[in-house]
Amino acid sequence: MRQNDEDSFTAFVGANSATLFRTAYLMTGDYQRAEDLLQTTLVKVYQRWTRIEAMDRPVAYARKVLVNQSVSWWRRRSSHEAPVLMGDEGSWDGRVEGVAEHERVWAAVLSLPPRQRAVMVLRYYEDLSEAEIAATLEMAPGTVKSNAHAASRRLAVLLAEPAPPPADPAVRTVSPAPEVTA
Amino acid sequence: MSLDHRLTEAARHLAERVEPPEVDLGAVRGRARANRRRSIALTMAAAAVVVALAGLPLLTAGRNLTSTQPATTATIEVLRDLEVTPCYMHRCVAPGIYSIGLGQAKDATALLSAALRVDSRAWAPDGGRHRLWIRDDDGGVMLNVYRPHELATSGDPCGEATTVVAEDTTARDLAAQLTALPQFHVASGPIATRAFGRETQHLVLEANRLTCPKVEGAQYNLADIYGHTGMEPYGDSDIDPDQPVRIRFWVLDLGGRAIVVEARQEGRPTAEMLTRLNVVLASLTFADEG
Repeated sequence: MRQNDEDSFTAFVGANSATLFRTAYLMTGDYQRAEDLLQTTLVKVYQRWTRIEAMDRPVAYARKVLVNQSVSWWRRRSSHEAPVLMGDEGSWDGRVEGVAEHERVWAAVLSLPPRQRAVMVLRYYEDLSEAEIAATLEMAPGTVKSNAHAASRRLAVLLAEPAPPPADPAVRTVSPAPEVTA
Repeated sequence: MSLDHRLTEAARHLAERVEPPEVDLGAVRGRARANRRRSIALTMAAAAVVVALAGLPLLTAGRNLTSTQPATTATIEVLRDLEVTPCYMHRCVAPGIYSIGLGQAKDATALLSAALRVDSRAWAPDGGRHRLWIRDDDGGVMLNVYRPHELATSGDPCGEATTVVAEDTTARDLAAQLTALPQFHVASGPIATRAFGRETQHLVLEANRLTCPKVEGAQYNLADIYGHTGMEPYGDSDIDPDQPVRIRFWVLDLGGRAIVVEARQEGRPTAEMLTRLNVVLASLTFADEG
């Protein structure tokens, strides 16, 4: 790879790795797995950088690789292996109720089937349009819509009950939402 | 507070709370360079296929083929890597010849690849998952070419593919395993058939209506598949439920690996879609180059 390509790849990583990592984290609920997904994604991008760099939005390709790998990885896990959000004690801001509510909401998202979860992450964190989500997940736009609708209905059920009282603030791991059959 | 607002707040809060790691660019470049030799060799192997395409093999056992000859042009198209297609919206695969990496031969002496010719812009790509597809509101067609890592022949096919495909699985073994996919019935086969210039096992599976009743919105995950390097599972061959599905499989031994060609019809595809699928199928060829 030429030096200017190396430089542009370094700049790409600097500009986009944090957002890509956070997308991976929201998809997996696991810091280590998110880190692995990010590195694997960047390896794939680097291998094809000269072609990817010429695209209108290289980050869209990287996001596609990352999200699809994450979807596949979750499908290979046991359906009984419920994802949990791993807390980061170092960034604890002391807002017990707010944090508990956010974690409760996202635990429900993590209980969704992988592709529904991907639609939720791309819609609510990446703020992508339906067409952009369809392109990222290689789905028909109608399939994005049906996945989003199914996810919203399930989340509405899961999150309808009032949140339980805050647990011990020292305990930062959230139990997964209960399984609900359609 | 609306559900939309709660989801937006939760996503942003949790994402911002976590501190991203420092990216080790040296490790990224190191892994990429370790793969580079394989990529270069793969490109060379696939390029050889372009030459071989001058005598494209006819698909001798496909049923309902309205055309077995691909549209030909006076020029040789440039070989492209299907995994990196410069578009993100549907219907944007430029006509040309595309390669699909299938990893290494079992004894690591050869690189395995497929090549196919796309002759219209009707197709949408998903090279990372080794597939091309056309779809409208009523149905569609899809071509998948892959080496499976797991099959949904046990457990809940809508949750996970649970049966690991053994390293030494032959085409014959794998074809037999495909007959056990839940919810499908065997319409024909498996039978030994010559296609794509090779000996294959051919079978047809049909399902009047796949269902995923346990979790709303889940998809039927027929197989987890290896990526283009063949080193790690990458994607899957999944199917939207609640529609009729017909799949024509050809399973072949390539470099000691069992490779699956999956020509799928979902819902009610148009005659034009079926013709396009058969044309691409007829152009498909494989290489195992040292």
